[in-house]
Amino acid sequence: MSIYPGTTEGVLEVSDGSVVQYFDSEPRPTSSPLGKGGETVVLIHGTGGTALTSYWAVFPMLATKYRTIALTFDTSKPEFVSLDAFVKQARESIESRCGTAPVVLVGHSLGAVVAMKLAAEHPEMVETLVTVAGWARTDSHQLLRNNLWRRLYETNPGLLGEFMTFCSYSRNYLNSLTEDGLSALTEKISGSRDRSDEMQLNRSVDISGQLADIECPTLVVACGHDHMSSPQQSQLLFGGIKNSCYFEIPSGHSVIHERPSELFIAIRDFLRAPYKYPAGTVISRSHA
Amino acid sequence: MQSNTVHDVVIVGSGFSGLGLAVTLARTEDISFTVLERANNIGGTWRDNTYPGAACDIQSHLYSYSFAPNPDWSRVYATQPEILAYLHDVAEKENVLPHIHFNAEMTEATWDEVDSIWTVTSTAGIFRTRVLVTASGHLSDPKMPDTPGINDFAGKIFHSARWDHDVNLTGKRIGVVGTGASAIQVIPEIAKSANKLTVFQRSAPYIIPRNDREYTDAEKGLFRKFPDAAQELRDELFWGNESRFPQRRQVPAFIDQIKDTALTHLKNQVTDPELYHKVLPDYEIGCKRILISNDYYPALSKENVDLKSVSVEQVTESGVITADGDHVELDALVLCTGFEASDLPIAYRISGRDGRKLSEHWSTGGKAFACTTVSGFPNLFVMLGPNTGLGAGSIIYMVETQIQYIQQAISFIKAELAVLEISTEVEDAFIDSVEERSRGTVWTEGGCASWYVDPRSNRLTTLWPDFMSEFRAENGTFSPDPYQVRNIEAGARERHHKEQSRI
Repeated sequence: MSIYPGTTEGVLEVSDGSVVQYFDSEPRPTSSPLGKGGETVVLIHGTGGTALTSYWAVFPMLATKYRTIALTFDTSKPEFVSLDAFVKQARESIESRCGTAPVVLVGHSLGAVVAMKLAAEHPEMVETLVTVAGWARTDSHQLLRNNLWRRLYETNPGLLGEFMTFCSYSRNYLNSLTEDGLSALTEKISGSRDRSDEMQLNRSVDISGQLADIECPTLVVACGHDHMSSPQQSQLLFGGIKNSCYFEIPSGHSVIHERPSELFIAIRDFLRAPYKYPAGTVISRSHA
Repeated sequence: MQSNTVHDVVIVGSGFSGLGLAVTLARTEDISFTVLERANNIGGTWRDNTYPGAACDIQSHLYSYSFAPNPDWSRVYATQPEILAYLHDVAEKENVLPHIHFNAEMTEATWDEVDSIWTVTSTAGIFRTRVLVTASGHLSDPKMPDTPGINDFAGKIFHSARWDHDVNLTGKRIGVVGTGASAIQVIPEIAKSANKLTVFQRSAPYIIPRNDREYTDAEKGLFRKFPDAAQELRDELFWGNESRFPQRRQVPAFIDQIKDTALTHLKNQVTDPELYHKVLPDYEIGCKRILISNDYYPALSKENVDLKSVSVEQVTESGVITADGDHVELDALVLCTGFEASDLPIAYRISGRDGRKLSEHWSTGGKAFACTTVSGFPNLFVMLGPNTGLGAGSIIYMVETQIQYIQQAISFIKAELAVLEISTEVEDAFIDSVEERSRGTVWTEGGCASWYVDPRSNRLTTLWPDFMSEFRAENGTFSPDPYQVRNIEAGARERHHKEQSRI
C-alpha cells in the first residue's frame, strides 16, 4: 500500500548485510508560503514498528510540506538489533538517499534513541533533531514493565495485545473509542511483528553520556500521559541536550497514532523557526 | 435614518462569525462598531434552521467560542435550540445587543474613494463606516430547485432552512428532496409520524456513526470547576479532526479507515439488499461532506418510508414525477436542497473602487487574500468567504482565526488612519498557492459534483485545502506588509477628526 500518493519505495543494502526498506516522497512538494520548506525529514521507528505501521499517519502529513523519508530497520537477525547496528542502518540509508545534505531526523521511542546517537556521532548529517517519547537511560519503571512484557510473551502471548494497548495509549484516547474501535486497536497491536530482540535491547539502553555531544537544534517532544517512556525521561533529554527545546503533548506513548497532527504541527513550527525559540525554551501549546 | 456619524466598523450579519467579531470589538477599547442584521434576531444559521432534528455535526465543546466556553453543554452534539440559546447567552453577557440593528438588511454598499468611507444602505437607513465586514455566512441563503412546475404544487412546500412550523405533517404524505446534511437529520423525525414519506435522492452520502451521549452532571461540574479539563477536551476534539485531513488528500491508509467505518455502519444498519444498493455511494469518500447519523438508515428501513434514487423531473399540482415516470402523490414537499455557497448573493450588493461589483470580481469564483481581503475593495473584510470552509473540522476555529486577523487590521487602520488594499498580484499569488494545494484532493478528483467546487471555473472556492493549523499560521496574524497602505488624505483626515469630536 502506498503510504502517500506519488511516493517511491525500495530497499537499501547496508554494509553489514542488513537490508533497510524505505519510503521516499521525493520530489518534495512546492514550498508553503511560510518557511522555506526545503528540508528533508527522515523518520525512524521504534520497538516493533515499521515505516508503515509507525508512520502511516505522520508521513502523509509531513509529505504535504517536506520531502519525507521513512525507514524500516532490518531486525531479522539478532546481530542487526543493537544501537550501533541501527545507527549504521540509518546512516547508510540516509547517505544513500540524500548524499551529504544534512537532514531533519525524527525518531519515536527506541527510534529517538537511535536518532540521538546518530546526531551525537555524526553531527554533520543532522540539521535538526526531533525526539518523540525518547529516553537516554532505561529506568526501573521501564524495567518493571519490560519484565511483565517478557513474562506474558513467554507464558501467555494472547494477552500482549491488551497489555500493550493499555501501555501505549492515554486514558482519554481509549475512552474516546467505540467498543469496536478499541478491539480493532488491540487486535492490530497483537498482530504486529515480533519485537522480542528489541525488547531485550531496551533493557540496557544508556546513551546518557552522549547527550552532550548533540549540538544541532533539537525539539524534545514528551507525551504527557506516556506509561512507557515518561515525560520525565524526555525532561532529562531536554536537560542534557544543550540546544534543545521542550514540547509536551497530552497523549500516550503512541502519539504518532493518537495525536499525529499535533506532533506534525509541532515539528512544522519548529522547522519554520528553529531559532525562534532560544535553547532551553519550554514551548507552550496552542489551543483550539 | 441617516447620520453624519462615521463608524469605525460596520459588520453585516450576527451569526457565529459576526457575533464573534462583535464580542471581540466590544472587548477592545476605542473602536466604534455597529452590526446590521436582516432578521429580527441574532443567530444566523442557528436561528434559521429550526427543522425537526436540527443539530450540529461538530462536538459542542469545539463548536463554540474559545473565549466563551460553556461547561453546561447537555450532550456531545448539541441540538439547534441549545446552540441558539448559547449564542443569545453570549450576546447578552458581552452586552453586544445594543450594537445591533435588527431588520436591517444591507441592500448596497459602495466605497467612496474621495472620503475613504464605505456607505452602507440598508432597510434601516444609511450607515457610513471606515471598515466594512461581511459576516453573512456561506450557508445562509437557501438554494431553491428550478424543477418545472414547482409553483404548481397545491400542497405545502418549503425549504428546510425556512421550516413552516404551522404545517402539521402527522399522517400526511411527505416528500423530501435531497439527502444531504439537513435531510438526514430531518428524515428520521418526519418518518416518526408521516403516513408515507418519500425521499428523493440525487446521490447517496457516506454516513459514519454519531458517537453522541449526554454529559453527566459530574462532567459538567468538572468543566465548570476545572476549566482546564474542558480546554483539554476541546483540544482533543480539535486534533482529532485535524488528524483526519489526509483523508482529503486521498492517502490510502486514511481513505481505507474512514471508508471501512462508513461501510461497516451501512452494513450494520441496512439489511435489505435493494435499499443497500440504493444508498451505497458511487464516488470516493470525502468528495462530498461525510455525514454522521445513527438514525438515518433505520428511518429509511421503516415501512412508511420509500427512497427513490431517481431525480425529480417535474412537480405537479398533486405531487412529483420522477425520471422513471413514476407519479408520487404528496401533501407536502420539503426541500433539503442546500444553500447558495459558491455564488454568494451579498457579492451583488457591494461596489468597490471604480464602482466595480464584488460579484464581477468573483465572476469565476470567490477569491480573497488571506481568505479575507479583496483587491479593488479597500478596507473590506470578508468573513467565511472564499476558501474558508472545512471538510472535517469546526468552522468556529476558522471564524476565530479571522476575528483575530480582522481585529488586528482594524486596530492598525484606526491607529494609522489607513486605507488598506491588497493588490491584484498579491491576491493572485495567494490564490495560486491555494489552488496548488487543492490539486490532488478528493474534492477536485473524487468523482462527484459538490458545492465545494465552483461550477463556473471548476475551482475549489469554498474549502480550505490544507490543515486548519496552517490556515491559522498563514491567515491569523495581520501584517500591513502585503498591503498597499494609504493614509486618508489631509482633507478627509480633518473631516474625520471633526466627526470623531462630535460623537
